[in-house]
Amino acid sequence: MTDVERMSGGRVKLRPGTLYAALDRVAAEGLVEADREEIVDGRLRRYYRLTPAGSRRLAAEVGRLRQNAAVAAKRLRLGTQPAGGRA
Amino acid sequence: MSTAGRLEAGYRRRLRWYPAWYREQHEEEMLGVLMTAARPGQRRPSVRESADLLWSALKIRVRTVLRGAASQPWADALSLLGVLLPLLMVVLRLTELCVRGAEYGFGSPADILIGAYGDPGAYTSSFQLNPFPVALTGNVTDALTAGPVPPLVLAVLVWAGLRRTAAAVAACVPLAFVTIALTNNYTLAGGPRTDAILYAYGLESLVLLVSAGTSSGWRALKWQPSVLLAAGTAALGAAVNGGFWPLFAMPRPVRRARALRLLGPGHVPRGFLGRLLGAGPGGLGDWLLAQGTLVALIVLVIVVMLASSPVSRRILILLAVPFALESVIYACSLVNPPLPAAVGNAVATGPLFLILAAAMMLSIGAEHGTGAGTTGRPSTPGG
Repeated sequence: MTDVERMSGGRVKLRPGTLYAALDRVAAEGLVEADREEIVDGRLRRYYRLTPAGSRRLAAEVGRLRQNAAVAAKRLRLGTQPAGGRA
Repeated sequence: MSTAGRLEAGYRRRLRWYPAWYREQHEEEMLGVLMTAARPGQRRPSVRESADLLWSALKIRVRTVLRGAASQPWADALSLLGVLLPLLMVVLRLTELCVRGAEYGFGSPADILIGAYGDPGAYTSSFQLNPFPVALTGNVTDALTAGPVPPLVLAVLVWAGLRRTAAAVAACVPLAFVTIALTNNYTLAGGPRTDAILYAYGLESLVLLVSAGTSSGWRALKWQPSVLLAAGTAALGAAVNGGFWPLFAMPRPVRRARALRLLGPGHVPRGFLGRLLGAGPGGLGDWLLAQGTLVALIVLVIVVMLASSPVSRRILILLAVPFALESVIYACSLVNPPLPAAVGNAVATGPLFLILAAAMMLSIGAEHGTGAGTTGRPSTPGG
């Protein structure tokens, strides 16, 4: 949760309920699984890791976002250049 | 209790909103996250945290039902009800048709069907489904809800395995009814029998989309409870429409007179309850006494179904939904002074639209490949 807040520059504040609802969904889809558990300050802490399917899905998603960003950047460059050619 | 202890107790109370199987797996871990994320000195969960946990718990509960993960009997019950409900509706409608047809002298079954769909007067008025003058629209609405053709079409589609088409047809019947009725100023809150059928169609649409498929429904079909349920449905249809006399009718004058002495005017509470269970001519109490044998048969069927299997119990719970909603509408129709027509219509159509909206959301979700549980049962935690 702290990581999400930091990475988004404070724009996204992930709450525990939202986190666990998302975790339930991706676990049901077989994208993450429980890795290990430990007791910290008397409380259970469970760690999760990506499954191979999760890694593939994440890589595909990163590729898709990168492509979207590339298209957006290209259009932005075109939009800032002086208009030329025929409409 | 310390501040941290009070905060922890508050979180634990909110975590009870989650399903038991989920709490068993994640409660301690979530509690750890919640306590770590709490502000220093925080004494109780904030409104935002509570809303976040409530929404999350709701999502997990809906998913649990959709996946059938926490309880296999629910998944079986949904699949089975998807194929059983149209058949029960056919049984109910055919029973009604035969009883009414015999009572009003329509003659052969073919004549009865022609009477249902060809004669805009006699058949419709015999059902007394609405107090308005019978017009073409009245005939259409009654044909939609009282006639056997819509459930027959639905049953054939389900039998053919056309689940999504069947779901669309099941949704269209009540929508068409409501559209015709409202544009002709019918008061929906006045026709409780009609409402139950409308809700049953909505339920069928939702169940077909939620369930794992019609083929698994046929596989899950348990003949013994299903035949019992069909018998109960036929009995209900006969009871509602006057009974298969002399097969089931009890010696009415003797027992009724005795029972009426017990439930005489001096003993029956007046007001709301009196009107609800009125023992006078045409009252529900009188009807129950007259139909005692049939009611007993229906009760027997319900008891056997409850005892037979977890799947049967769940089917009965799901089947109770249209009747429970109908009871609300009926209670609203007894309110004195009567509710304004707009309020009555809103009460009658609100649950229906909610059911159909849920079905539509599931349908959209399934088309985009994200509808959890609509096309299969993924392996899930707690399964």
